[in-house]
Amino acid sequence: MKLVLASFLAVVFSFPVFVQRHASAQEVFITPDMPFFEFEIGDSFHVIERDQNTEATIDPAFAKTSRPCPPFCVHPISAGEGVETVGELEVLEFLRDHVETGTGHLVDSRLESWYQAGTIPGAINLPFNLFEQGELNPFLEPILGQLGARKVDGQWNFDNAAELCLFCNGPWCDQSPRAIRNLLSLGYPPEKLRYYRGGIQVWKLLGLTISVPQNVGG
Amino acid sequence: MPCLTTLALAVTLAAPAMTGAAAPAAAGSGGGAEWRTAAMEPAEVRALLEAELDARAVKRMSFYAQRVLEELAAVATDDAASAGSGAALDPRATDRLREAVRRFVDAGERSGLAREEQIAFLEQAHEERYSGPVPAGLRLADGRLDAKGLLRGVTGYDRAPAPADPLADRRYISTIAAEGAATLATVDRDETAPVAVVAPEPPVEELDPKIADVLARVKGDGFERVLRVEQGDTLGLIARAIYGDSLRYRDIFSANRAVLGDPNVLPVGVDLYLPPS
Repeated sequence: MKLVLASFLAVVFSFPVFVQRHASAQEVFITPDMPFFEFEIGDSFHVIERDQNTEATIDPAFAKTSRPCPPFCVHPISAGEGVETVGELEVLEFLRDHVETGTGHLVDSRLESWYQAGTIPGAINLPFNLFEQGELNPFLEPILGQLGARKVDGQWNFDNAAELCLFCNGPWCDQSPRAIRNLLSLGYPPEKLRYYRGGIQVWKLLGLTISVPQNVGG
Repeated sequence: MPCLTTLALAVTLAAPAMTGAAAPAAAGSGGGAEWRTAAMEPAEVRALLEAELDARAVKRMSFYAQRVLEELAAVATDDAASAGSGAALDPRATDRLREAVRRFVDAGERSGLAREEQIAFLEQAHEERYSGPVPAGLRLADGRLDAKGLLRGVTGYDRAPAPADPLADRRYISTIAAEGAATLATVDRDETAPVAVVAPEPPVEELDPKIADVLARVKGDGFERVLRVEQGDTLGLIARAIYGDSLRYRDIFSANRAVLGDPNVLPVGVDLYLPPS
């Protein structure tokens, strides 16, 4: 334990502050009162903030305006009746209220290759196809079980199911809306679901912190 | 790449922490937060912190300490720039450092750290991570960072939102107008200077002799206070005596820009005007 703590100290103390490099202090806040957002999950400490380079532009991978539709079509604001659509600040609130307290998960609904390239700090990866019903998906029941649902007499009971906030690549992406449609059809209570429609594209557009999963939980 | 670096450092830094752990940790667990910070070696401080903090708290405190050090560096840079060019100090740099310290204190309270422990943590972080000048106003006699003075400055700090700024709307309009300059034919620029927000004067908790000496030499009152600089005075000491906040050395410097050339140099014999609290 001591050794672990010592290395934590070493890691966090190993970035010296040089006057030259920090001649301009933080000036890109999230909101006027929130220069950054920090939260904890288990033993890990995370910080979400915005890129401080005022000349930064969006990652070219997310600059494309015109992927063919279908399948990359513009989505309505709602992903399902009773499911709240949220923005970035509500995602942070969700992290504070549910992820930090262990009552919910921020869910990256994209296929794993997307997730591996970078996600929102604190997100777990549950690709949308894990919620497909049918013979081809043996993972559905264990996943729902992990989320706190219980199968009683062949019926799913979601009384103790986790709060979920789902996102994918953005307003042109159908991965999280699909996951939400599947969850609703299984009976997941809509009031336990949220849809972050902006997704990774808007997250990146605002210069918010992206974490690469190898470092998640770090 | 960064992983390798931190790993190597982890090994080298872990060693002193392990050797120094036993004795101070035992003392710390028995007597609470009785320990003093001034005479402690970094390894001792580290051992105490390890004994008392969990990993998350250490990470959190380190993060907030880092923010303080970054803003401290910005203030030092601003001081140096001002001495070099004759320009005024940037009050926003002061506010940002104060805000970073306030957040550090808040995080310390959330992690259950006593004030002395917060001071020790900041001193420790400063010792290990900061390379660069420390503003003279925030330096102790032995040259180290006056972490205690910095934290004292925010103790009575009013965390209520700043009073409504009558120029905020105009400034917002001018900012977005300037941002649109590339596409707009005409831009109505408004270079209104930001309004400094002065924190209320925190109470002075103890009167050390040097502070009492400064206070005794102040002539006048209210808006007309003047102090003649004597050998041994520093702007930080004067700020601490008058306002209970060493960071306000920047306010004194700014108010006396005509007679002071460098925030880090205080000539003996000069009459300093002391701005109202």
